[in-house]
Amino acid sequence: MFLNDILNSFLTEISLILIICINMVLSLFIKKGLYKFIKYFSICSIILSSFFIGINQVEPPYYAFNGNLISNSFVMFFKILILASGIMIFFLSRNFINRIRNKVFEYYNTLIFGILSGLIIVSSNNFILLYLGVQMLSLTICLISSFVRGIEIKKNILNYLIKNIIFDGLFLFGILYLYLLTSSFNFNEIYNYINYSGKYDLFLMICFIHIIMFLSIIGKVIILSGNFYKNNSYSNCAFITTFIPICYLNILIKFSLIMKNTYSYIVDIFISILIISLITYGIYKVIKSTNIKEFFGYNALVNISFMLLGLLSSLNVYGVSSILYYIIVYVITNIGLFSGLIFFNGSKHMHNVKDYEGIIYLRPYYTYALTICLLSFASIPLTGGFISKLYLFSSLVRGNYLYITLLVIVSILNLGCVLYSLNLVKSFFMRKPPLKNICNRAIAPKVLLYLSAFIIFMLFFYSNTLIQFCQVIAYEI
Amino acid sequence: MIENLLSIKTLILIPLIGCLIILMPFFPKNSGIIRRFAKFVAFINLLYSICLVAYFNPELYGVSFEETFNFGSSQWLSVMGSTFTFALDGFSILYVVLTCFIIFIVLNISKYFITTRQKLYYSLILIMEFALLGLFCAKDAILFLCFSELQIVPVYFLNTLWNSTQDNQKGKIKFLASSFFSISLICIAILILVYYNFKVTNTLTANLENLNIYELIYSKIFQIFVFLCFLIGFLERLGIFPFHKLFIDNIKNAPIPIGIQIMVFSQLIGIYGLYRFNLLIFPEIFKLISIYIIILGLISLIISTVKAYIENNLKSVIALFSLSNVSLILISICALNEFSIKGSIIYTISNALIVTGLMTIAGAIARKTNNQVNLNELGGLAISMPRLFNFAAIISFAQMNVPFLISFAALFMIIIGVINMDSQVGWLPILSVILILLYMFLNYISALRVLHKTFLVNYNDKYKSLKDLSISEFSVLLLIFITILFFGICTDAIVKIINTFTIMISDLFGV
Repeated sequence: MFLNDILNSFLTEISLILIICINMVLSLFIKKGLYKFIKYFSICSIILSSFFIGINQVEPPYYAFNGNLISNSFVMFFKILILASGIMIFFLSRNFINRIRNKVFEYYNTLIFGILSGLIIVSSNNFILLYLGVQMLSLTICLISSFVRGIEIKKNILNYLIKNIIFDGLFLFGILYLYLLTSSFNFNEIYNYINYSGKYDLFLMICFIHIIMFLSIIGKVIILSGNFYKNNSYSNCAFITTFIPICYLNILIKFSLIMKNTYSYIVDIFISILIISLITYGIYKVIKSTNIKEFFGYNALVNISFMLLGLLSSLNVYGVSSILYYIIVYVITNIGLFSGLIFFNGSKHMHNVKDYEGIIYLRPYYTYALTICLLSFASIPLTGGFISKLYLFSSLVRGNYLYITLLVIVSILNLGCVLYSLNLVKSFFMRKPPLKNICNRAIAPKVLLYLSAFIIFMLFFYSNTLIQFCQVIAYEI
Repeated sequence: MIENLLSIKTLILIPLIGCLIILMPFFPKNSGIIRRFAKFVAFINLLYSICLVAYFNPELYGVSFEETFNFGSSQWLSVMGSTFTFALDGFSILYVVLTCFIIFIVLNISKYFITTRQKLYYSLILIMEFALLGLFCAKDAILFLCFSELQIVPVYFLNTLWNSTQDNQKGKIKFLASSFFSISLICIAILILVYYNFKVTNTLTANLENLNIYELIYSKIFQIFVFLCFLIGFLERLGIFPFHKLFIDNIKNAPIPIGIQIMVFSQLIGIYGLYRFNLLIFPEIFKLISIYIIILGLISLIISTVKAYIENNLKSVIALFSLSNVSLILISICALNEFSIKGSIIYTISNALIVTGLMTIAGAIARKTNNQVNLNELGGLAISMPRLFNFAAIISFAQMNVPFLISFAALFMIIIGVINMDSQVGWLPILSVILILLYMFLNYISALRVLHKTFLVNYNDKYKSLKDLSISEFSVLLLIFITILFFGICTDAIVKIINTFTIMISDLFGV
């Protein structure tokens, strides 16, 4: 039974744990000068672990370890996304690794730990396990940031840890209150209790708990301040801005599905107000930011806020499938963007937004690829971002008339996204005396940048199949 | 044989392929080669569009050259009911030819105003042409939305990268914001329309032919809401009051080729959208609200004409002429009879040609007089630039709706259409005609004032040594002049093409 559970749902996670252990052992024996060996070893190991996903049971859904873990198409979708993103982040961390050669084992172990935490979050069917995964992810963020040299980042990490505790407390409060009402931490049992117990008087309390836990997750995103991104490395920012949306949106979708009841319209009102506030706040912060990492850090917040639209209770399949499709496009675009930033940062003097003025004169074709990624964030046609936002907005229309009001407000706020993205693209093409030549021999950022730009462009024409696939996953859950 | 080679796909893709070739690493960086290649691509596209018109069957009730693209085994976005379908009817084919013609003109005059980043500039113009052609040929509402949003991006870059005057930075951002605001409204309206069409008919489609509301049962509030979203969106593109100030400020500060594109193409999209979405999809609501649109049009007409008389900046005056023409077109559309519809379509073409011609002349004057566009500072240019004066006079006469020029026939049809307007408000046709006559009077004196002040009086010695038109300027203005004269004499050529379209509208409104 135990072996069955591992084989059908947990083999990838076990292999990742094994890789961490092997890395730790190797770190005792291998010289620090052979850091390249550990880089290739880690990447190959992750890729190999990824293949174990294929033997996970998906149909019918499999419940492992007394129902504490679940394996279905929804979980599989997120696991593939996490593993693929993780592999890309590994490739992008080359520049950073060159600067921390004596800590390469620890750094890669931390990254693998982060991937493991993501996998646990998405496959958890139990609040305690979910909480564990969330803690592991927060810990990963702190640990990978601690590898960056400088006193400022250490202050930011401490700041993040302290604020994180508050929202962890809120999350735990929610879990425990839910346990008080339903006597269970298991998602299926809680869902059955809410829908079949007949205790309608508890629905308002459930909505209250839903709001608390929603706030706790969103709070964890907001506490990642501009300074945290600014003082961090590019590969760490890429990790944070990619993994946070994937993991936290998975959690929020689960919350919405488990705790849905007759009073969910109260949660909807709360989510609507939250979305408007977050988008406004995010856009304001993006426009004000001068540092490029801070810019894209807050851009991630804006995109997460847009994805929350799919959680409104009447939307069901279309809402969830629109989030799934949006996440795919967002992850590809984000990886492409950070690949471009890492490539251009080879000259080490391009941390500010203004430093990117006139880069068309330095590297025109990389600039065009970066432009495609930015236009995708601005939801301009001929990019996958346009289809993702259009599909998200069209899912809102399927709800009730109140959502149309929300749609109008959100469409107007979307102008902000368009403005700041186009403004940045415009600066690429401005006439400026050229900086010293950008020299970055790393192949991975270039390849990932071109690949992302190409996929984003093709997604404009070939989205239909992918959207239908997302709809199938959404139907199944 | 030529007929077999004609397809919309080729028409739309030619500018995109041209743009990609220019951006290739192997393409020479010499500005002359880039410019000539871009002009060559635009010329080929113009010829191709003329061939499409030549082989277009005007008696066919419906669309021609329909093509659908499938990506892989499925349609483009069947999950949202959208297909990548293009088609042409009598109305859109004229817009296609007009777009190709104006782009060709703009590329010819660009050499005098655009001296930096030519590769980027010409590739942006070709992308814009691709977006415009896609927009006018789109048979699907979501595809229309896609191309209209795409069209704004090159306009933004053209307006900001080659218009670096510091005093209008906020204006440019406001212009972009207002353009995207109008697109957002159109997007919301299209999404609501498609979904509610699905709810009623159980067919998920965004095809414009299948979205006719009058056949279906919808609540009036829903129809009015969606109609207003479309209306505000397209009125913003037209630059009608109260959106006119932003429009004029941007044109005043932009280089001439960019100013032409902002003005002409925005207005073409606005009028096209009003026809395709407001008129054809919501005929009952259009009839209901036409009174208010006419009143808005009349206000805009008088304001823009009066301002054109007072204004001293040459570019602003031309922009105001254009706005007054568009206001007249709006009134004419709302008259909802065969004459007024035909008149409005022909006047649209006339407005585009006149504005292009006037802006070309303004550009020539600005270039030769060291960027002087203030009417009080100009004077007596006819002495040093007689050829320029001749063209300015003819195009100004076209603005004044003088006979044998394209605008005369159109205005005549509009006036007849407005008089025969079937309005529940009895005084509206009479008031409209009176105000149109007032507009004509003010228009005459404004145009004559500009001509007079710029070319005939207050001769200034510093303009003594100005050179007359260059060969390329001369050929561009000659082309515009020939077009204005040809369609002024042979207006029937346009009427035949749009005849079936106007009959379709007349059937829709039962007139």
